[in-house]
Amino acid sequence: MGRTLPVAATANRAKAEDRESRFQKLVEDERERIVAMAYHLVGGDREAAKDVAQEAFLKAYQALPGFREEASLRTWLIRIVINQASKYRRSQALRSRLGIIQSWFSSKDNVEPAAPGPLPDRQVQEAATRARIGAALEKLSSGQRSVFALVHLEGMTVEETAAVLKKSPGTIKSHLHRALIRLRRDLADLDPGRKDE
Amino acid sequence: MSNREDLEFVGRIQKAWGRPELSAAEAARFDRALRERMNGRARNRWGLAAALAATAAVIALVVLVPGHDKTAREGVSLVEVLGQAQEIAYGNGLSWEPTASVNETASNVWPNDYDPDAALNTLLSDEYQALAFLVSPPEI
Repeated sequence: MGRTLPVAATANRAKAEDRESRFQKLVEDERERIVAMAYHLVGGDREAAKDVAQEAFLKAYQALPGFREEASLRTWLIRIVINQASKYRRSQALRSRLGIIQSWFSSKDNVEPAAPGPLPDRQVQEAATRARIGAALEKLSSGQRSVFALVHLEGMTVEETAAVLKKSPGTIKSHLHRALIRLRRDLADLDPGRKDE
Repeated sequence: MSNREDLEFVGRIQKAWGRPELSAAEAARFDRALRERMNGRARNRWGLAAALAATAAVIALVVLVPGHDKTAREGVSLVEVLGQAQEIAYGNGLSWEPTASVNETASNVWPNDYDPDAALNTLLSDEYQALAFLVSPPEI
């Protein structure tokens, strides 16, 4: 006859397994979305986005036992990645200010690294445009940037975004409006409403 | 500006900006790296003590070595102390950043053209001689 575990140990093992399987499912379901959100929020640096996303999942794993399900797991995880992205940006800003050159995350540049040999003009231009958009997004306030990323780059509704950011739909719309005004100024050549002189 | 023009403008940004997708291989690498990070956090609790000890040693070098002002002019400044502390922490797998108060002080004391002597004088002031201010407990 085999030994049976004490009830408490069995319950703890079941809890640990439940946490593991919940977390595994969360990663599989949300990995791509979270990396994409991090990408939008850290200025288009793909490697930094993966780092930030992993930190977000790590924090979620650590906090999962205490998750009280007041919001959905996805909403909760998106909040975590927004916070992690903010932390990353603050760290980058400090490094730049202090003149620290070697960076924990990969290159400061948001332009993709060049392939061997000269790139076709089109790719160079696309990379330059992405860099300009990244720079314009960086100039938005933190609230405007998050709202623009969630609504226009990730396709969330105003109501979903309001739930994630714990703000009213009216505030979300206001952020969107101001973000568009600012982006039009910085990306005038992409603006179809611009009157050419 | 019309709603249609808003949508067109946003559409152009979406198209130019893109959205990263992970291939199956990239997803597998991502999951592996995440698992390593999770395991690394569990293993590297000792790293906190090492990071603190190393930070203390570097700061002691700056503060206590005679002729510290000369040392500052040779390039050992609080900026580098913070940088070295961060590198040590990162090298041990810890995600560590200076506390908010240090960040704020850094931005006040060190504008874009920072002065190493001013930075070192700040370090030597009463407010900053306590080592604890430099390290906020990293989340483990």
